[in-house]
Amino acid sequence: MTTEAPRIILQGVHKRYQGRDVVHGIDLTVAPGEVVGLIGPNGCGKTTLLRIVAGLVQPTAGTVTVGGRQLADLPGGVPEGLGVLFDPPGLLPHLSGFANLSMLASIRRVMTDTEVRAWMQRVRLNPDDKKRVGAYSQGMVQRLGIAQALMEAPDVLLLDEPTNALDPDGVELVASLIGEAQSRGAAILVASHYLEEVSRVCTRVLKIAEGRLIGAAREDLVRTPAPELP
Amino acid sequence: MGSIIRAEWARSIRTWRWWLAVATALLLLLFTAVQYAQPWYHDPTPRAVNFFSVTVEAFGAWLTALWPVLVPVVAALPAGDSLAVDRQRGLDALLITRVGWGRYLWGKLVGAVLMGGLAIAVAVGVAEGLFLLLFPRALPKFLGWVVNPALPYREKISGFFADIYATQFHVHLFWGAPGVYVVLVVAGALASALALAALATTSAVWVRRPLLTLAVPVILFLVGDVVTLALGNRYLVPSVYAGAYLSWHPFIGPWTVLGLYWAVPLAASAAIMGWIMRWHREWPRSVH
Repeated sequence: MTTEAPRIILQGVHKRYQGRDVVHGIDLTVAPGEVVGLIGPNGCGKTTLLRIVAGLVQPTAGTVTVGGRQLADLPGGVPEGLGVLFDPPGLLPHLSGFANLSMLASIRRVMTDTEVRAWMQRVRLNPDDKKRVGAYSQGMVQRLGIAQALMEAPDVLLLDEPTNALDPDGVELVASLIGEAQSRGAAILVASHYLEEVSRVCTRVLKIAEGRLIGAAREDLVRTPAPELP
Repeated sequence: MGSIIRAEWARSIRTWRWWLAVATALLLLLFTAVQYAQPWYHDPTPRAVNFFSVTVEAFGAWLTALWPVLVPVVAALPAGDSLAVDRQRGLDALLITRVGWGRYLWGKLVGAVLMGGLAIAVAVGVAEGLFLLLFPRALPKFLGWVVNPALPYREKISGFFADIYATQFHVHLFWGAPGVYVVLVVAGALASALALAALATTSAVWVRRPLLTLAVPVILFLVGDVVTLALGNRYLVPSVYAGAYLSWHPFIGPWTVLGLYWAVPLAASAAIMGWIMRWHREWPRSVH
């Protein structure tokens, strides 16, 4: 972990939706090289918080600063150099895995096809496989989603349930890729139901309940069912 | 914005909904042309012998009543499909975080409207090819119908998209300016189709199911027809006649056509886009 200024700063972030406080006055900082885990049950506000940081959801109150710039001041409304993984991973079912990654890589134009192929191999998928993503297993789709989030070496990484549908080998793979991103200085926020998986890759684990951060998570506060096998 | 349009291209033509739009447009063109070509209904029209002009000029054929329903379907299906499927699958998050809200929304709107237009263009091209291939030949009867009554056209076929300014007896009867008439009709049909495509795209903001996005433009279109009828028009008003109404009804026509078929969908689309961009920068109901 470095001593640089935080790359993600949330100050009093609040999201009210249809009369309900989904996220309630959250203050949080994530420094470069830090991996912060958010843990909590379904509907507690983890995903909404990640979407707020990504600029996909506008907070009702509070400020979000990513990479030194407030989101509200950015013309496109989203931070630069962001890698995201949400559920569903957002891949096109009628294209092959390589075609999906290639299409996404063509937007920022920071990667060659060779690098895209290398990333597919890193997540243990065959870049020459012509099979459409619609015919992939859930675990394969998840690994492809991980690849698209990490492949462009983002400075800020937001991962929502990154181990969904992964087998134990896949969980190991995700852990090592997160560690690699951390070592090159990315600020990483990981949301998950599973304390066990999150705690092993995170520098800090915070529990979130009913939209409030209630401090560091303790094993006895969270139910940790075994990861689902595909 | 270019990258979003490219992504739209990569996505659209591989979805069955885009091809359904092509098939719908093709069926519409074939129905209209066959109806128009019945010799007991219309005399063969000199020089109006390409599929495009035959269809555009199929004035009065009762099957053209299908236009009010099918044109919005053709326009809206690929367009509504665009945002709705992105949202359903989560692709919107990957694209927005790469290009920002503004370029994503404008790219989607332009890309979706282009793909809707391409569906119509492909259908017209296929229909034209079928026309050149089949109509000059003597074909067996189908369900008691003579489907090759266009035999008198054999010597007059002038090729792909030939002379859409062909002289038409009814054109002379009503306006005496065939070129302006055809241009107005074609422009009217395209403008309303594009406006509805834009509306379907933006209405998909609220609906994650592509087929449901059709409801908005179809309902709007049918309401427009009912209102037009109530205002005293003697024909059911389809989009293909939209341009003609500009000259037909000096007061009611322009208001009806511009208000219900072009201006309202376009204004609604612009309002939705502006609302997202200026005040919210997020999808409605996107809690999760």
